[in-house]
Amino acid sequence: MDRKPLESYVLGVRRSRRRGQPLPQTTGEALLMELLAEIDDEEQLAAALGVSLTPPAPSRSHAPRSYGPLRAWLERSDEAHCHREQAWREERRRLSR
Amino acid sequence: MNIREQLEALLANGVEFVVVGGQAGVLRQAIEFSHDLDVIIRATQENARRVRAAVQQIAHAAPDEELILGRDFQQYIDPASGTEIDLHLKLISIADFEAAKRNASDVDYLGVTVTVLELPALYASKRTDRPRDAVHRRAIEDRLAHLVLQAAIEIDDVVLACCLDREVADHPEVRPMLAEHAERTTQPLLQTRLAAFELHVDRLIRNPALHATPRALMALEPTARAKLLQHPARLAALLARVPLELPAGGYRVRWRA
Repeated sequence: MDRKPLESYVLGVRRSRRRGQPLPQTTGEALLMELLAEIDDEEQLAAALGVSLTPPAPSRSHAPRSYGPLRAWLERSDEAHCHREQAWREERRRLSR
Repeated sequence: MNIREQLEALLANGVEFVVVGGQAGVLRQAIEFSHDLDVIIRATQENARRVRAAVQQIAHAAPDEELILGRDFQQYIDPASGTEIDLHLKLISIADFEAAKRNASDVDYLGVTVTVLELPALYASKRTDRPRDAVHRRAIEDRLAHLVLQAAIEIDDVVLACCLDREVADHPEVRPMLAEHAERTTQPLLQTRLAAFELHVDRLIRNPALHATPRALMALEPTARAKLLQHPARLAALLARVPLELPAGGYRVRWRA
């Protein structure tokens, strides 16, 4: 698994993680031509490589199957945080040995 | 420290903040999990002092007040527990704390009441090139579509701009209102969704506020149009490039009783 070592996390500001950048402001025909050019480039590369490069779309499968009561939703999130923190501490102990 | 405890620390120190980012999506029941807590803070000296005290408790870091007020984005992580809090002074489409407040409302997080960005503003703030934000945008679309289909919220052009698809368009409450939206809406994103799904395009073309992108989309020849719209990833890429306009006075989803 591709993970940064814990030592790279330091107190204070961490600058290494990439943040999302605002999308370009292009509109109208220029935007559509830009998107079509991207698709054409991708199709040419895909034909040369013999594989599909079409990206998977964010789909309904990313969404929860059901929403249920908020309380249960948040309790589940808190539970996941407990597991995450536990895993973090275990990894830290392992790396400090 | 879990998210609830971090929120308690912020509140106990009197920090003026609004929950944003993935955790706002969790609190709005659109996203199931987010590993960190993102908050937008009021940029005043007094609030910076409170933030500093809260960050000391949460991440055992003691940032300078000047640093807190001097950077749009800061990230603090407790090395012992991995607890992470991200501070923002502004976001995409959200100019500052006051703008966030206008587009937020209170949520009860297991007994702790906190102010959380509403889904449309969260959607607008996630118009970035980051793949995770594309997934979050989709999750917000699905949550709002679910609420529309369940008749849980009032339906207007902001909600439809975020979630209109063929299923939502077929809903008996939505179908009759689309013709008027096509003629009048000033929401570029709703106009683009109407054009993409070919809904009332005869009326849309007469809309005096028609945005350049839906106009170009309607004028596109069929093969190119199909290329742009037939694959869900392509459609999502197009929709991500069209702005959601938040009303100047702010926007809150209106729940039905």
